Amino acid sequence: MQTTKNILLIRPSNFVFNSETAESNGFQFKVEDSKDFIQQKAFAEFEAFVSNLKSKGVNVFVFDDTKLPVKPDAIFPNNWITFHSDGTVILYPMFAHNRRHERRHDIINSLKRNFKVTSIVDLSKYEQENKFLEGTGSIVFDHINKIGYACLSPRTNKELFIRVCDYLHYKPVHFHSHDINGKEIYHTNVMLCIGEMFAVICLDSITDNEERLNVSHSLTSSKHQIIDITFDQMNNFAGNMLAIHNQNGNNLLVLSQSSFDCLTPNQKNEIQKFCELVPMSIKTIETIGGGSARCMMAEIFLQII
Amino acid sequence: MLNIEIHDETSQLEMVVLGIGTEYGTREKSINPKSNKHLEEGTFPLEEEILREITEFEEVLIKNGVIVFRPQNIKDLNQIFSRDIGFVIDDTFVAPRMSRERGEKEIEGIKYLIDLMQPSKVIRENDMPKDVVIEGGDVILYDNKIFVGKSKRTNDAGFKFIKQTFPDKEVIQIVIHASENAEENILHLDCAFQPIGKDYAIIYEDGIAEPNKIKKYFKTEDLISVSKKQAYRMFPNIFSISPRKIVIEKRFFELKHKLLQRNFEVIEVNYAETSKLSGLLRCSTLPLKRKL
Repeated sequence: MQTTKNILLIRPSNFVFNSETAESNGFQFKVEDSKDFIQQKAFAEFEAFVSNLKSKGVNVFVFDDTKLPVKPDAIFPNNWITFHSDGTVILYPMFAHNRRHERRHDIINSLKRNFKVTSIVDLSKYEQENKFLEGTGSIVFDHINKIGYACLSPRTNKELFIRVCDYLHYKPVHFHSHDINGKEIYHTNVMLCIGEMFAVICLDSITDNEERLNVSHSLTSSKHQIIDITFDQMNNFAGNMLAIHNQNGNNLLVLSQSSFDCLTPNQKNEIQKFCELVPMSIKTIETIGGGSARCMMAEIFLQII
Repeated sequence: MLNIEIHDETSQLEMVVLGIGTEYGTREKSINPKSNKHLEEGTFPLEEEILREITEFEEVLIKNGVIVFRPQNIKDLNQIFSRDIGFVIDDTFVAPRMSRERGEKEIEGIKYLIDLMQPSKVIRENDMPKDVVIEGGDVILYDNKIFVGKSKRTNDAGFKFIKQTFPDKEVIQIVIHASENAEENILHLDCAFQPIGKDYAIIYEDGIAEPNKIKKYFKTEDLISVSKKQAYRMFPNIFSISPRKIVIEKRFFELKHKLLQRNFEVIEVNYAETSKLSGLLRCSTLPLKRKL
C-alpha cells in the first residue's frame, strides 16, 4: 500500500532554529519571539497536530523528545528512520551533528511491542564518510510501483540512495532540483509528494529538461495524475504533504494550513478526487524548522503483531 | 485544530493552561482585599516564591501526564490566575470580558492557543453584549449543569449570556458574599464551592447566599464543609487531575484527612505564598481538555 494509518511523531522538547541545518535549508527563518515562547507555540501546534490526526482516526505513536542532548529538529522524525512492510527498519546518516542524536533505539524497541521488526539496517556509519541520506526527506517512495525518487543534494547522496533502493528492490529515479534562486533544494519531500494515484510536484524546480521529462514520465506511466505546483507554492510547503489513511480506510492528505491556503481551487478539487485534505496550523514549526507537515510524520508500514 | 473539551471539573485532565508568575507587576498594585491586607502587613509574596510554587505545581501536572501550556509573558501583568481569562464548556472556548480590575490584556497571553482552536468554537468579548462581565472562577461545571457565581467579577448579564449560549445546560446563578473585609470576602464561586470526584463537593456555606441551591444536588454525607478560617485559606480551591486524584495545598491537613477518608489520592504542593493573592490551585489553571 502507498499509505498507512500508523504514524510516528516526536513531541519536541527543545524546538529552536537549527543553525547547523540552516545553510542548506532555504526554508528556515529566524523570528523575533523569545525562545520560550517559540517552544510554547511549537508545542501547542504539535499537540493540535496530534489531536487532529487522532480525531481523523489515524493511529498516532507519540514519543517525547529527550531533554538532552538538545535536538532542535527532533520534531521531524521522517529523516532518521523509515519503517517498511517487510519488517525492515532503516536508520539514516544525517548531515547535522545535532540531528544524529535523534536516532533512538528505545523508540524502535517500544514500537516492537506492537509491530513486527525483522531487521534493522543502520546506515549511520556513512556519516564518517560525509555521505548523507535523510530518510523520507531525501527519498519519496512510490511503494505500489516500487520506485524511489530523490533530488540529489548535500543531504542526499546518490550512492546511498541507490543502495537503499537496491536493498528494498525499488527502482531509483534521481534528479536535481533547485529553487527559484538556483539554490539546491535540500530535501525531495519539499518538491514532491506521492499519493496512491496522484503526485504533487514542482516540475519547474527540475531545471534539467531530460531529468524533468524522466520524472514526469515515471509518474504518469505509474498512473499518477500530476498536480504541478509553482515555486511560490513550493515555498509555502505545498510539496511537503503526506498521504495517509485512517482506521476506516479513508484517504487523507495531511498538509499545513500555509500549503492549503496557497493551493488553487482547481488543485484542491483535483486532490480531493483522491483524498480528504487535512490542513494543520503549524506556522511556527514551518518558519523556524524549515519543515512542514510531512516532515513531522514517519510512516510505520510494519505489520502489526 | 487544538481540540478542546470540558464537561466537568474532575474527569481525567489531558490539557491545561497554567498561569505564570514572571514579572507579575508592582507590589503596590493590588486588586482584592486579601492582597491588600498582605501589602499592608508586609507579607506580600515575592516573585521567586510564586515561581517556585507554580513550578512545583507544573511538575505535578506533567508527571501525571497532563499537557501543560503557559501564557506568553506580558511584562508587569499578573498572569498567575489563568482560570479567569477564559473557560471551556463542552467544545467551546469562552474568552469573556473580565472585570475592570483585571482588564483586557491577559487574554493576549494565550492568543497563540486560541488561534489554534476552531474559530467557530471560540466566543470572544466582541461576540457578547457589552454589559456582560464574567470571570472563569465563577463558572463551575457539574453533571450537565453550569453554576455561575454572581460576584464582584461576574454580573447578571454574564449569567444570562451563559444561559443563552448553552441552552442544553441547566444554568444556575449562585450569589456569593463579597466584602472589603479580607477574611470575609469570597472573590469567586470556586473559593466557596467545588465538586470533587463523581458526586462529592467541598463547600463553604457561609460564603454563599443560598447554599441549598447547590446542596440539593449532593447527598449530605458527600459534602465536605469548610469553616470561615479554612475558606480564607482557600480550602475549596483545590484542583482535580482525575476523579480520584486531587492536588491540594500542603498545609490543608484537615482537608487531606477528609479526602483520604473518602479514598481520594491527595497530591500536596506548596502554594501558600500564591494564595496570598487570593487565588489557589483551581484559580491558576484553565483546563482545555478532560477525557470524556
